[in-house]
Order: sequence, then C-alpha cells, then structure tokens
Amino acid sequence: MKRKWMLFTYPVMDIKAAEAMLNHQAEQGWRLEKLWLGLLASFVPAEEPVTYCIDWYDPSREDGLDYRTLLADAGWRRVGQLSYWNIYEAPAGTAPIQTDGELEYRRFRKKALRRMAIAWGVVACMVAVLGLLGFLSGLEWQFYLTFLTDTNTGAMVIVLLPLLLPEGLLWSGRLLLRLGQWKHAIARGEPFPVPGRRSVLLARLCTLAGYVLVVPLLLAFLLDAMLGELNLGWIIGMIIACLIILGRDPRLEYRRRRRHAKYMLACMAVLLAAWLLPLSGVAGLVCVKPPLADEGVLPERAELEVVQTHGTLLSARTKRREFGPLKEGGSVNGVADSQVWRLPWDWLADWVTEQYRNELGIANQGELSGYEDVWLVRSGISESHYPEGCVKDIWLIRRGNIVLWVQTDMGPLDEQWLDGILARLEESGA
Amino acid sequence: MARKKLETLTEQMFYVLLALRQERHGYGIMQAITALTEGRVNIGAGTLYALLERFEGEKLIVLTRVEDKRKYYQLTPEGDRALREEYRRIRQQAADMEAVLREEEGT
Repeated sequence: MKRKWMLFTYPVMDIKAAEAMLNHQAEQGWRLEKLWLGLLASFVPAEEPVTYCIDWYDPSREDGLDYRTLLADAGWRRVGQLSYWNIYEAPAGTAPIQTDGELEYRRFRKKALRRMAIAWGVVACMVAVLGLLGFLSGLEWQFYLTFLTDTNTGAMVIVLLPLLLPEGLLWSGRLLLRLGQWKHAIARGEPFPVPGRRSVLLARLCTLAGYVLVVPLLLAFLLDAMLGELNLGWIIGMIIACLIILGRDPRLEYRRRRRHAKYMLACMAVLLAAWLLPLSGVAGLVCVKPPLADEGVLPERAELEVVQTHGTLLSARTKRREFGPLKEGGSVNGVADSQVWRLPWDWLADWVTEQYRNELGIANQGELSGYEDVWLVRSGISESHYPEGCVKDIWLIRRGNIVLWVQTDMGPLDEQWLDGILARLEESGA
Repeated sequence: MARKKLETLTEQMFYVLLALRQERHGYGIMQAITALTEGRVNIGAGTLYALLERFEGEKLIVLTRVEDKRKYYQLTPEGDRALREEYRRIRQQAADMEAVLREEEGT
C-alpha cells in the first residue's frame, strides 16, 4: 500500500499546527494510519474524505465513557494518542469537537496545564532538595561534583544541562506565548491561531532534539543499574507500585495508566535484571578507573582503611580513610583522609584545585618549593597524647586532570612519600 | 472575559437550553440544534459536553436517566427562567433596533 511518513514531533502547545497539518493531508487524500513513538506519523490514501480534530486530555486518566460516547455519536473516532492529546478522525464536514474558544481553553487548563504545573513543581522541589542537601552537607562544591563522578545518570544530566536548560526555556516561552495568543483570540471571539510554518518546523526539530537527548540518559540509567549504583529499594518499590496499578481498577478510564504501568514494569524488570546479574565488570570497562584505587596514600603505615570508589563514563573519584600508628611501633593511631578526583576537563580540574586552595587559606597559596602544582600546609600538634614530632599535614596535588587532597595527623610526610605519590599519579595517566 | 455567571447566554448556550425543553441526550441535542437552525449553528461535541456539565452544575438542567451509555437531560424550572430571560433580552434588543430604524426612516 502507498504510504507516506511525516515527522510528528509537535510540542504540546502547537496543537493547532498539528491539527492543521493532519487536515492538510486529509484534503490531499491522505488519512493518518498510525503514530510511531510520538515521533513519526504514517499516512495512507483515504477511501473517504476525512477531517481531524485534536482534543486535550489528562494523561493520567481517560475521558469519561459518556464523553467518548458523545464524540462517537457525533462521528469522531480516536485514531491516536499522545501526551495531553487525543487525535480524532471523522467524515469530512463533521462539526469540530470544540466550537467555543473559551471552553476549549478551559479544557486545556483542566486537562493539561494543571498536570504540567504539577510536573514543574516536582522538578522545582527536586532542585530545591538538592540545593538544601548541598547546603546542609557543608561541602557544597564537593557534593555537586559527586554527581559527575558517582552516577552516570547524574553525569549525563550535567553534561546535557547546557542543552536541556535552553530546551526547557524555549518550551516554557512557547507555551506562555500560546497562552497569550489563545486568551487574545477568546477576547476577540476568533479561533485559536495556527503558528507559522517556519516556527512550527523549528519547534518540531527542537522537540526531536529533546527526544534524542533522552537516549543517552536512558543508557546512563541502565549503566548505573549494571554498576549497582541505583537503589534496589527504589526499583522494587516501583515494581510493587506498577503491580498495584495493574491489579487495581480495570475500568476503561484507567486504561492508559495501566498501559504506562506495563511499560514502566518492563523497564523496571530490565533494571532489576541489570542490577542483579554480575554485569558490573562489563559496565566498569566503559567507565573511568578511579585513581589510586589499588593502594592507599600511606600504604606502608596504614593498618586499616575504608575506601569508596566511584567511576562514571566521564570521571571518577576515590575517597579513603586510613588508620595507622602515628610512629612506627607506637600504640597511638592517626588518621589520613584523602580524596582523589579524576576529572574530564582541564577547566574543571582548575576549578576543583581552586576550591581546595581556598580551603588552605590565604597564607598558604605558595607552591611547595621545587614542585609544580603541589601545596603543603604543615602545622604542629599541641595535644598531649600525640608523640613528640607529630604534625598535621594537608597536601594538595594536581597532576593533569587528577586532583589529590590529603589531610592527616600522621605527618610529617616527606619528599620520598611525595615522589612516590607523584609517580603513582603519573602511572594513573595524569 | 470569563463567563462566570450566566448573565447572558452565548448563541450556543441558548440553543442547548432551547433543545432541552424536551428530554434529550447529547447527540440528540446536536441533531435538534442543526435541524432547528438548518445547519446555521453547529455545536461541537466537546463544547456541548462542557456546557452540559456547566448547566448541570448551575442546576439549569437535570440528568433524567442514563441509557446505552448516553446521559439524558432536561431543562429545570430555573433553566427555563434563564432561557425566557434571554429570549426577553433578545426581543428587547430587536425592538430597540426596530425603533431606531423607524426613527431613521421617519427623519
């Protein structure tokens, strides 16, 4: 059968443009066959002349049976469904579904705008919670940097942020523009305007770009599941929630919610399988290796260590706490806390070094004599239980895109130690 | 801009109430309006549904029965009053217009 395809990535506020396109195709003898993943529309030759209307609807709940019966009686048959849109087809000449601009606008507010506001509210709350967590942690910049090193999803969001933010702003701006146009049209008793062709084409391409951005995000999510970075309780909780939705109300009104629950259940099953199967080794192959992960910063003195390593597609970090005697053969133990970052960009390594240098204090900004990009702050310890000669050392070392911070009361750490660490950093590919 | 109270009825509102002087279901109302106005006024199914919901909320119409998934409605005395008030207003408008035209013709 003869078939033609068209990009159908209209943003939600371009409802009238999508409707006009469908009706333009109908006038040329084509009828909508199917929508593919909300990206493409396939058309086949129409045997009878048809017309199209797109109606707002609440994605969390189907329209009532009486509404659908009324539309069916009037000749409208649903032929497609996208988020917030039901696409209806009827024999040519059928009166449109909405013939009153104000009531159509009210339906949009009731069925779509409220949902969008909730979604924006959720995103705003998440951002606020992250901001609060960062503030409460007292280590704001380190907290936010761990998004890049600890989970692939976080790293991908940060990398895509320069694209996601303008997309979000464009989308919101376009929605506000439409709201203004629709209110203006209602006040003048005119039909809602159809946006221009160039504007629509640009919007469709931007929406397509938005869809494309989802792919790396999903892959990053899967990778996190393989690495065991996703919370197992969350995955199981989502599966239980999906099963409850599927097992609950069988009414037609909830058909779409059940369909979403089915998709979500399938996704969660994949994530659970990825989490449970021993795939972390495979996923680890594509991730950056955490620096200095094999041995601590004081390998010869530490008797006990607690290590955390994290690696993503872009960066990695190793956080370690080592315990050992302050003096060889002594009974009093000291602690060495270290954090090593392997970062993806020079400018970010510069910035991290700058943050650590700020923590060193204004008086300690000079590099260690004879060494480039090495800073040392050494201070005496006056507490009585420390053996004589013990000092507190803070070391900041930058090699390439690797930044190491060591803080210990097991000092003084000598040049031999420093040379050893520098050699290991070089070996790590700094 | 927003029609909070039904102080005046739009043309579509007027015809929906007029059609409901008899008990009818949604599509029956659409057919009645098309027949009465000889196709001059067509009311969309979505618009009609919203109007029925609104009229029912304002007690201008009442749900009388549900049969074959279709809801049947009829005008209430309050709805009848609103319809007659609108009719009086339209007639008054027409009378005013006629008076102006007569005056213009007389001068």
